[in-house]
Amino acid sequence: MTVERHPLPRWRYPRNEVLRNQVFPSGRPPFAPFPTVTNLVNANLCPVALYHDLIHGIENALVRGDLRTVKRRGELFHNFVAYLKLSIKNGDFELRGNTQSQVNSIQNMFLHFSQSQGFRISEINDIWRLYVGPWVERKLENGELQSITSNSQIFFEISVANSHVPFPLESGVRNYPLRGRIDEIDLTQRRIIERTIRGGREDNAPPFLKDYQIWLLWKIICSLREENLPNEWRGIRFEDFELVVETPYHDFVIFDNQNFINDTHSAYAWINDISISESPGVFSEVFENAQCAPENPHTECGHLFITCFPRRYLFPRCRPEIRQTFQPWYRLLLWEQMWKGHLWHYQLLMLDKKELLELGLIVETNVVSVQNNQIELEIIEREANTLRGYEYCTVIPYGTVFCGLKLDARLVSTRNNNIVLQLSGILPTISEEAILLLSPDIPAPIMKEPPIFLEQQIQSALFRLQHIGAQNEERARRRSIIQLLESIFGTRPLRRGRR
Amino acid sequence: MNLEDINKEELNQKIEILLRIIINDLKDLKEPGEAGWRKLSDLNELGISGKDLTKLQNLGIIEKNLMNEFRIRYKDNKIRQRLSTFNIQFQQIDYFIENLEMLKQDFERLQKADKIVQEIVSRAQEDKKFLSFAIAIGIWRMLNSSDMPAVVDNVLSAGFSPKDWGIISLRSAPYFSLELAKKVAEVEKLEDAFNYMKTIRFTSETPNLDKLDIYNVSRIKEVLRWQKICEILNEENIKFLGLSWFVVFILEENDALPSYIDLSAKVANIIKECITKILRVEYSSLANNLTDSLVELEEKHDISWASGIIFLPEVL
Repeated sequence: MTVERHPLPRWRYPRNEVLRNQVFPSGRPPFAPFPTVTNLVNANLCPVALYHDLIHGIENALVRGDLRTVKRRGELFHNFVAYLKLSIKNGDFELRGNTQSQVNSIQNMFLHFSQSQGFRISEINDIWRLYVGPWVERKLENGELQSITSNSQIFFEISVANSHVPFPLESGVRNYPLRGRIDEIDLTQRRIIERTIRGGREDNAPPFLKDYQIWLLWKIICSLREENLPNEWRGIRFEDFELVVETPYHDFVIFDNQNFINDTHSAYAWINDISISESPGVFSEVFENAQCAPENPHTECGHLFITCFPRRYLFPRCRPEIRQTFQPWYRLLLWEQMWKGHLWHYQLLMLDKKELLELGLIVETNVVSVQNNQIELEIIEREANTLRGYEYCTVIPYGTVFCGLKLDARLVSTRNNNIVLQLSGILPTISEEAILLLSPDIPAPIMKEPPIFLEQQIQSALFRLQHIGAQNEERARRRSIIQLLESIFGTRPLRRGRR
Repeated sequence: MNLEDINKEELNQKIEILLRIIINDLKDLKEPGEAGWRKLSDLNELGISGKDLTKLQNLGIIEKNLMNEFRIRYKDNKIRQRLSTFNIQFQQIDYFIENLEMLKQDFERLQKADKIVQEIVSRAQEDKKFLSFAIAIGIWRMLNSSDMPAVVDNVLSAGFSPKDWGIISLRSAPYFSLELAKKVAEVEKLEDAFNYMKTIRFTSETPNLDKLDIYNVSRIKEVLRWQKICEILNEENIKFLGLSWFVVFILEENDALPSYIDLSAKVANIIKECITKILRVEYSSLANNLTDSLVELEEKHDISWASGIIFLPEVL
């Protein structure tokens, strides 16, 4: 549960001049961040986890073990489930024979799929045994996979965002911005699914904070006005949908929870204060409210003994000076992200289409064709050659900026006023609807998303540099980076060569 | 005998208690060789019987020393593998052992900080001159730590190049700090303050306090809108800023600031208590009032750079 913090009197939204790029971006942004669901989940875990997320650009508080491996495996699990379900729906894969032979044929399919994604056999076997296998067996046992038909309406990886998501507060409501991505929306079964590789066979509750995560995503989609949903979804009451957290071993149904509302107000207060508060004591308050200590660790937190309580080295000796010098930079880097990226999200959701087009934030197109991972688009009311320099962009081939399928794309070629984009990711994971609905009548917006991840990488690189070290003098002398730090921040004179 | 043959859950509880003993001892900075040993009578009080110990001994999990004391063989890799459900506890043990030297150093710094801060409190309460000089030095330290952020257009229209601004504006710190400190403290020259601190061995040397010529000072004042900043900051704000920066400055000078963040939080609390005692106002109220002044400067008077000049020291 979030460490309580008094709810903000109001969320600080960007003023009109800021939204319309009429204010020169500098210093502390005159608006609060546009948070992600991950930010709120981290805030709920611990204010220090949120601090690492916002200030140090390290967001993986709930990933235990090697981050890269866990992420790769998680992605494979997600992608394969989507691939399997869509293959059944499209008739590309048929479930035949008894359960065991069905399991075997799916395992065979998984082997080919994972190999195509660059996984090695030994790892594929592990992933099957630990995650995919148990999930497949369960889903065959409860008949879920067999129930998929060509009419099933299932969508994967749908991005949802709203600048004003209402949360009850006392007798009124408080609006906050929020964005996130839903793993699966099943319109036929009327449910929203958050899928994870976390969780074990013996569990009788969903993995820590997964319930809160899906609840937040549900809140976003419920807050959207009809016109902000994809055309075909209008009239659907998402309030009545079932929320399911799916682990390899269990499905947990999540219910609305009053505690989540209180947690959310506190989380937003922490996000605001860490990011832009003028209050001088806020970082002290973060650490005073830390949810664990080396002698009393939080068992679910992935920062343990890595980001929090890292190895302490004797060298460089000037570590306090390094820390004091770096400290203000982290927040400045966050502010840069807010000016570049968070403001962009506010603009997308708060300005109307005409203004977005005028500001050059989006370009409207008609879909000409889709083949494999390439999409050809005809630019509307703009010359294709004005897109030069925009080698990478984001395309929404289905849905809206509020609720839709957002894909990263690379500009491959231009032909007259048409452009061809290479879509990233695995196309089979896109719902059939997403592709079928790409008729020439449906304009697809293209956006150039600002690369704020670069600032996040600088933040985390600075943090790593701040904690670099050696335990003995001999080793410290051999490591040029430590010598350099001593020279810059300590009292050691900087010398060239061996003297 | 295997772990599987006995009541695993019950035994795991005992193992957890024994591991906790090691962790607590290490946390209290005991040497790894000495950590975790307990006599049977002590263990009985924690719910571990002689029978339990025999079981654990038969399993090879615990060791016994010449003093008839027991502890888990926590260094043994085979035992660690067998007790893999206690991975976090072993990580904790490794953390304290690997960092023991640094933890000791930081703990000593913490104790030193506590001692220095107590001395600052008693001197400030007894000696008005000390308090005045401390505030002046603190304000100087704050301005000296600032990058003097300003709006580029204003810098250029005052006739500075950006490069000149970076060099010259910082040299205004002695002048500005004296001007601000004089609002609440009896101090004529910053040198007097540093010399006084040297005589009572709070500092070892006087920094370079070369003053800038009045022409440049007035240009910098104009760019920073310094008069407005001085006007909005009230006496309490100035005392609070000056004292906070002075305490941290003295701790830095005496190598009494811990290197790592968890103990820094404790130092931050020591500093807060010190400020509260000297100024006889709750720290949170001082901080809130300062925030109000900064918000007024930034929002009402459009001095968006105010919090880049007027700020508290980063102890964390």
